[in-house]
Amino acid sequence: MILFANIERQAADVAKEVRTGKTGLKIAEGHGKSSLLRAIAGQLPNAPVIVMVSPQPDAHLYAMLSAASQCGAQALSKVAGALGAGGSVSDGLSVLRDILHGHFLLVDGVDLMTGAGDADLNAVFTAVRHQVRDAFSTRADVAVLRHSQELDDSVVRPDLGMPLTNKRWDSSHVWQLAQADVDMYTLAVARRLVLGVGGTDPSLPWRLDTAIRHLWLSLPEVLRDLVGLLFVHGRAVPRPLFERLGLVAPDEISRACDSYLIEQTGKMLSLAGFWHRTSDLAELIARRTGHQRLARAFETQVGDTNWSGLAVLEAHRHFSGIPDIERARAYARFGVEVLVDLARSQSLRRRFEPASGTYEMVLALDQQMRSMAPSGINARARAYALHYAAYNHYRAGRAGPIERTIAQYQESLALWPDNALFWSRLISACLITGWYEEGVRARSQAFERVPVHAERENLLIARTTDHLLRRRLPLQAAIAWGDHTPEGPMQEELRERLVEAWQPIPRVLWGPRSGRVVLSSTAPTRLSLHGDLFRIEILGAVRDARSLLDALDETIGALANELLTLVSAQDEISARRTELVEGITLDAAAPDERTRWTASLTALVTAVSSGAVTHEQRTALLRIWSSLEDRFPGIRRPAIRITDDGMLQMGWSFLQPPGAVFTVDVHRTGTLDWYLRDPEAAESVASDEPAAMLPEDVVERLEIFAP
Amino acid sequence: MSADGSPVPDDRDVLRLPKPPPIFVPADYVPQWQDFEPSTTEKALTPVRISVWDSSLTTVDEAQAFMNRRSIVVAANVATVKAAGSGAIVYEAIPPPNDALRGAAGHAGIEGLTQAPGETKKGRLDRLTRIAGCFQLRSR
Repeated sequence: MILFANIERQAADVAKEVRTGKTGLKIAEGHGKSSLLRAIAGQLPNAPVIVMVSPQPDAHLYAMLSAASQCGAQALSKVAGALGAGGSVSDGLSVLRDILHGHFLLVDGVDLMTGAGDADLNAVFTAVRHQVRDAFSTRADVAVLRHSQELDDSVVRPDLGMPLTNKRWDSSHVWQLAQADVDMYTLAVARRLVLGVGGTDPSLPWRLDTAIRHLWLSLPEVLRDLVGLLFVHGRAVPRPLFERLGLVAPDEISRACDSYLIEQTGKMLSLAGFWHRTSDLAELIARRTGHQRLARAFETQVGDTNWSGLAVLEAHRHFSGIPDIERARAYARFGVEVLVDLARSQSLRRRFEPASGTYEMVLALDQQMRSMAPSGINARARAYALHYAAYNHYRAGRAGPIERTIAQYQESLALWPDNALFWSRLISACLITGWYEEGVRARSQAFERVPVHAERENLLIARTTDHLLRRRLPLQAAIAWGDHTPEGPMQEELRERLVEAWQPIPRVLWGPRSGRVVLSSTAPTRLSLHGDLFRIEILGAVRDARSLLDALDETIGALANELLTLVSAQDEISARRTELVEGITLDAAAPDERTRWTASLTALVTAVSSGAVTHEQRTALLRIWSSLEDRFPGIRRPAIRITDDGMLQMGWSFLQPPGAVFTVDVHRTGTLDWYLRDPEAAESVASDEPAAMLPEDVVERLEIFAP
Repeated sequence: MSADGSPVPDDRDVLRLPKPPPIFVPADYVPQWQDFEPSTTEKALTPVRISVWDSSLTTVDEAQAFMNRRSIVVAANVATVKAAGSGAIVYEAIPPPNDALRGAAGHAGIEGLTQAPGETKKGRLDRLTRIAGCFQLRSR
């Protein structure tokens, strides 16, 4: 029964246009669009196909199977077959196109098929969703749009008019009490029909949210159960299928329709619109129990040839809703959209362990699908699942090497190389783990792979830096920031936070060239910002650079140069040498060999102080090195070691020239034993007794180590 | 399961983690005889052996865990090392509690690296240099 005056007339106008061959009519979102669509359907011959879309991850699959189900069991079976094992959305659409030939098609919410979720998740399934949306949008005779930005003047706007008069209630009085709110009016009518004459009593709630709660609590149990089931189901369902589920008696369904609690459009059942006007209902309904009942009920219809494809889709969705992912997996015939959406929502609710498990399940399904079709769940979906399986695994605090997380992040980026958010997480993970070189490399690769877009710098730099600052990792944050120039006040503020986080300068530092550096607690330091330049002062050395890390590297480099001069000198100890040796510890494993050499000669100074090496040994080593460096500029630096019995050893032995070896053992007295093997001369020579100096004829042959 | 004193099969590779580590390691460095000089502790035992690890029973990471520090890792085939002039290469049990660590079963020792009777100092260094030449740097 129609509640408003203008609906029948407006529906007749639209239906007339459709009957005369006009297609692609659009109806704008607004009160009455459901009534209008229902009325149009009623005025078209041959039971038009009606597809009612809700914003759900599998909406595009539902649209196809729902449309097919209204064209008969064989049609549903064909479309399900084309979509399932080894098939594709393209195959399904191709079959559906033929099936829909000769049918009127009405679609409610055609623009809701593109899905809800974050930008990354939408991007995973964008292509197929758009493909289905476009196919339905083109083919629909009448379509209701939900996004007003897509509307123009050709669009039909529902015009309800005033409520029709009725014998059972005073429509103008109720309209007044409802303050001309269409949903409140419809609810009041439903309340009147369910509760009797008292349903329009002015003392009852007339504000929609409280009225919905009141009606829900006042409903007879069987009707409340029906409304709850349709609420949990979340989208329209063919009435014949719903009746076969055996959850609610058919006459109770009719009673609910007649009472405006639910709506029937063609064969499709759905909740009356007013139920969606409050969030309270979600709290009142036992969703998990609802999903369990619906999942089991749809499961019973999987073997029914009339409904199999749609029953599989809905059983999968409700088992995911419980969530019972093992059972859901059994019915994941058409895709993994619902499982990915479930995993994402588990993760957002900080349920990292189950989220990780759900993503693992998606990956297992991908493996299974790839045995039938090489593309599996598609490369982006695989990348998404790989990335977030690793992310949630890590966040769940499950024991396991961080290398695994990083490796999975890298694997996901190989499949989706322009995903800036994934790069941000990879950079963070490397830096948090202390893999600074890998972090710097990942940052640089990210800028090569992610094309310029409005959010690129925000995701790659600002997000990463902010994340690291929140974890109180100022050094890692500086590496992530690099030489970035802030864009806009938020990034300016972030740079301020970065500078604040470096007050005082951390004592354990790292630079791409200087490696890991430790400052003593008393070493004087200072960081300041001069325009766009960071200025670092350490132990009297000062450098400016656009990157905090470059400023650090250059300051450390200046100190290392000064330190090298001081620790290479054979003369007496100076105050500055002591200040630097005690104030800064360079990385003996730095990638830059010169830094490692300086660190080693500094360690030698310390070794003399501790007695591990004698002053005579150090002096002898420096004398040998100094004379060889003077004689053969560019000669390779020797390996140096201190044996556990106090011998100081120098050794030249490299990939080039192969087989050439020269070693010197410096005894604690400063005397030397040496051994030379020259492959070109095909001979070796060695000292017979410890000597004070290297023989001149041996030194002459050391040119082989000066490439 | 390896037995203490039994020979490491000729077709296996052994890992050597030079001890003590050099305080400076140049780029492109390759093993030299000093990396195969028995330490004072090793010289105090009979027979004198230097520590190596059967790479089929001990991974690089496991071997490094025994050393309790980072160090360079070199590897060579057993038969090649013996042909270059080493003595026997035999499995050697690790005393408790480290015997319970993963990879302990792969511990072995190279014998015959000290100066042999009648061998000159240069002759021994030539022999150790040949042995060192059998080893290649090994990463994870």
